[in-house]
Amino acid sequence: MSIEFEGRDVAIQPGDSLASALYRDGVRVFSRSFKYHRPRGLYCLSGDCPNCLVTVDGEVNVRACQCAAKAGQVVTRQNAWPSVDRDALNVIDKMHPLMPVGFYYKTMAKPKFAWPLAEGVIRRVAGLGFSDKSDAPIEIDRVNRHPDVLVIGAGVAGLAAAIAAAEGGKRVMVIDEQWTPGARVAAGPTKEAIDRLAASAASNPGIEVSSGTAAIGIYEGPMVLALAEDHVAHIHPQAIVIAAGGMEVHRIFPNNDLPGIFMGRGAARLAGAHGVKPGERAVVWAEQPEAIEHARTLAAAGVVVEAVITAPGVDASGVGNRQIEGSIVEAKGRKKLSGVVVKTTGGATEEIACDILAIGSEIQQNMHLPRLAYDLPCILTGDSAHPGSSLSEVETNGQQAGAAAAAGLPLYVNPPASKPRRCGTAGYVCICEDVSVKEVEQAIDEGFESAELLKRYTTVTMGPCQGRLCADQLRAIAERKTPTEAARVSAPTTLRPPVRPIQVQQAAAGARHHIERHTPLHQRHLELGASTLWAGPWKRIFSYGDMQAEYEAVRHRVGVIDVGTLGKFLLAGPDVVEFLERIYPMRIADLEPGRLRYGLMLEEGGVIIDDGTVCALEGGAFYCTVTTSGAERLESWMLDWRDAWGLDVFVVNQTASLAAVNVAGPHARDLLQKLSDDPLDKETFPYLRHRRITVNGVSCLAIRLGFVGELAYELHFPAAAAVDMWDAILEAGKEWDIRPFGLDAQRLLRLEKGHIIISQDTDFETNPWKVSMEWAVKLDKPEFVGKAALVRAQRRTPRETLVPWQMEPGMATPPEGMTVTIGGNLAGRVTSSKMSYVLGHPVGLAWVITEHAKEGGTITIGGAPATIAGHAFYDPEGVKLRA
Amino acid sequence: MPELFEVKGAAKVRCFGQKSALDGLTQPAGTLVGRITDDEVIFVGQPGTAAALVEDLQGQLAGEGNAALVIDHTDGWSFFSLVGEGCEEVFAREANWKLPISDGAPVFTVGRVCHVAGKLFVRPNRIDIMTGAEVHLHVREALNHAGLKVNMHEIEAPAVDPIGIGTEGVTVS
Repeated sequence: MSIEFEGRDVAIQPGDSLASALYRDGVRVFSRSFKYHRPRGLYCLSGDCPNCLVTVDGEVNVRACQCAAKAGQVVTRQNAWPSVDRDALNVIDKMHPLMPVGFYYKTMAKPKFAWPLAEGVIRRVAGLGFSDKSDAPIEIDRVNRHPDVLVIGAGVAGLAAAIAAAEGGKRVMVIDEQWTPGARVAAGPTKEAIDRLAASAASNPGIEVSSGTAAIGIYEGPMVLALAEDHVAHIHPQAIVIAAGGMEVHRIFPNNDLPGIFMGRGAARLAGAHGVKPGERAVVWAEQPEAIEHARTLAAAGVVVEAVITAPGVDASGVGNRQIEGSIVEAKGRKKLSGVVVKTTGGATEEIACDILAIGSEIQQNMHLPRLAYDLPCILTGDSAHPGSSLSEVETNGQQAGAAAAAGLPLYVNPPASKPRRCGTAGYVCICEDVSVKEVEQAIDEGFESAELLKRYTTVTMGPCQGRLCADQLRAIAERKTPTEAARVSAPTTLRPPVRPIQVQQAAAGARHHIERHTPLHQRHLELGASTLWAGPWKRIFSYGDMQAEYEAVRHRVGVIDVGTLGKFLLAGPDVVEFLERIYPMRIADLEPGRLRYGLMLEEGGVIIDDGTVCALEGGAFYCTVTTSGAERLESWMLDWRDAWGLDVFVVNQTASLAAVNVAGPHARDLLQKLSDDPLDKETFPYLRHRRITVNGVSCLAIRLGFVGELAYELHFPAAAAVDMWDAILEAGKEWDIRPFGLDAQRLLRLEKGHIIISQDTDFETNPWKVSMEWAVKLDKPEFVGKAALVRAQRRTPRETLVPWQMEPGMATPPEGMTVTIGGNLAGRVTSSKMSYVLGHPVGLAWVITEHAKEGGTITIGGAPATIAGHAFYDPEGVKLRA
Repeated sequence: MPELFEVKGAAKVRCFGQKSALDGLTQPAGTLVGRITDDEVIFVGQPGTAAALVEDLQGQLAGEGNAALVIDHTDGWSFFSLVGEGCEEVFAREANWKLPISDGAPVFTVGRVCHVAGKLFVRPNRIDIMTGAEVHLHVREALNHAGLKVNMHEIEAPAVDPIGIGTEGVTVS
């Protein structure tokens, strides 16, 4: 089995990660650093550092140490030219003095054209991989899980916790970043414990172990966001146990980023878990006892341990050729490690030749997830709670955590505090972003003292490791540099999910931003070649291809429009009249069955929020329509008021269960009469009346109203009959060359009548006074929503008034939104505008400063004169719609 | 392997009234019943039974006068059924809440599914999902997409007893 690596085959072995397979094959430089293109080799092998980011099968920035090697994978390294092994861009590393910290804020600011040019170059030569820019959407599934207890981490503590929680009767889910529990743990007591516990967990039906699943965020709920191989999991547990382990502290000294320098656990993983000999001659820096095991692991793999450098109190007897109490103060080498400089506790320095340095430094908690879990039902265990504990302590601690989670004990934890780490005076603080100690100190000298500002200015903690390696070191440098400001600089910077870099498509997993709502006639419209547009949450018909023909049909013959998107409500119950009297500003109590009335809906401030019709039905119920986008919102709004007033009313939203079409035009009656035996004449069925009639064999509520200014019947009927009804109307209308018409034609038809569209011609300050709709408000009613505000507003002259306007024939139609000026001064804006076919000139509506909003007045729109009209442009007496 | 089908025309009748009046309703045979709120209950029956259901329920509530209302809502909601082993996995990809556990009898619940409001009946290896008819295409597409990874297939609804209730009627908690 093999993978393809930069044009050649590389053999892989069972259990290999990409990193171990490539290292076995001789690859030592895995990447080039972000800014200076310094060579970087394997370092942590735990997925925490940026050194092994490669491109796998076209996916950039894959952590080679965390990616299981699979036959056929195509792997390339990134961020180098022409190659990672011989990177010409490494010349930037020689240009440090020219690129001080924050240089891009300071240089190329003048002349102005310099920065865009520089930015392009910087973006090309600095950074990580180049992502695939193809347009092919990649959709990632989102899956929700609901275990009782979620355990993050399948190490000793996590598995022990899971077993204890399951024994407590809980359904437990365990997630772990590794593809199998213990995959990166070297053979030894820890590995044996993990294998034993994993086998026990696997046989427990109450435990689900989901390997290869990384927790990247914890949110209120609690909800844990986790990345699996082929989906994003949203996990909703009752309690969380975090056993995310710990990691060795990143040590800072000159040349601390050379290939050949490993974290102790990383070197041990390579040698012990993957069977790959990291080098020939090693120095092990043992700040704690676990590192002695790392030295033994390296020795067992055939590496000559030249020396073990120990902290006081660490016993390295019998391990390595020499044991020296002291610390590493410098690494030697140019492209790779050739030796280290040791400073003994006595103060002497000595250089030791080696090609590997394994830094077994102090163990720190993996603090990212615990910090996100602040104040949530969560418990920490293992290294996450007590870094550096013995194996038996870790297992016992895990058992206690699992039992506590199962018992539902108060688990709320405070996140571990950030603490400053011992930190050298030179070397790289941040190996993600190539920031050295010197640069951080320089930034502090420039006044960026607080941790948050230092972070933003230097970009320390902002790279792929998200501060795992460098956050505490940043604090240490800041405190060392500005002791008097210690309190201010020591606060940890804000931590936000995701704690691991994720793909954009993973962030969007399961998201659907545009859910289309369709009427039952939608497919018929598409079959007729209709174009659509968004109207609130609905996809409505804009036009069937020839707007003018649609318009002409309505004005001169007959047309039909699908108005099924209107909000439709049945209101009934003992208190329904009282309820409607309070909801609407017009009178309801005197509305007799068979009659209907136009109604505004106002909020408490008197602002118009919707409009529609109210039909009084037999039996004391009412049928109300609202605008297309208003149904859901107004259903909640009405129910809120009903509950607030304690009225006994049923509010039934029938928007989807009823279809609605409007047949309009001089021959509308003739057409419907072909499909109905019920009398439709003017005397029997006059304007502003409604009746239940049978059309095409279907019982319909027929409403006579006229938004488009022509004789019109609006039919409301069961949605299941919609297609047959539509087809029958079009068939019956052939005699008059009927046309279905869309919103584009409807908007012109209504504009010629001067009708407003709520939210297009109104805004969040529009009350009825401003749109000259005093006739729709009865202030002598005892109470209705918005009345008090309208009474107050009535005492003031509104600053602006909505007015109809028209231009002379031959003038261009100004776009909606165009400013209105008078005498060169801004005086308003256009809300609607169209070229009127029947009038032959542009017409529209506009907000105009009230003192100028007088019939016959002249305004200027887009430089062209327009005249304010005083009434509807088309059929101002309403003769046609009352026909 | 889960399967998806739509029960077209499944009867859906909504009853509104005082709690005591709705509490006193006798569940018509062959229906699923769900209590939406104290003052609303919904009955779901086999396709083609809406008129009979309305008549039955109107009769039962006749004494309430205008304090009760019975509405045929058949066209207003779609009725999709996820059936078979793994149907919960499909649901888990389209809803972020935990399904109630059914001991065999249908359990009625409400919540968002496929990003829209839903009303559900949950039974072992069966989840019936009612959502607004205006988002019918979206819900069908979303459920089919969610089922891709678990080899779900959409099939025709059973010709007999598509809502899976028989003709005896079931009392729902």
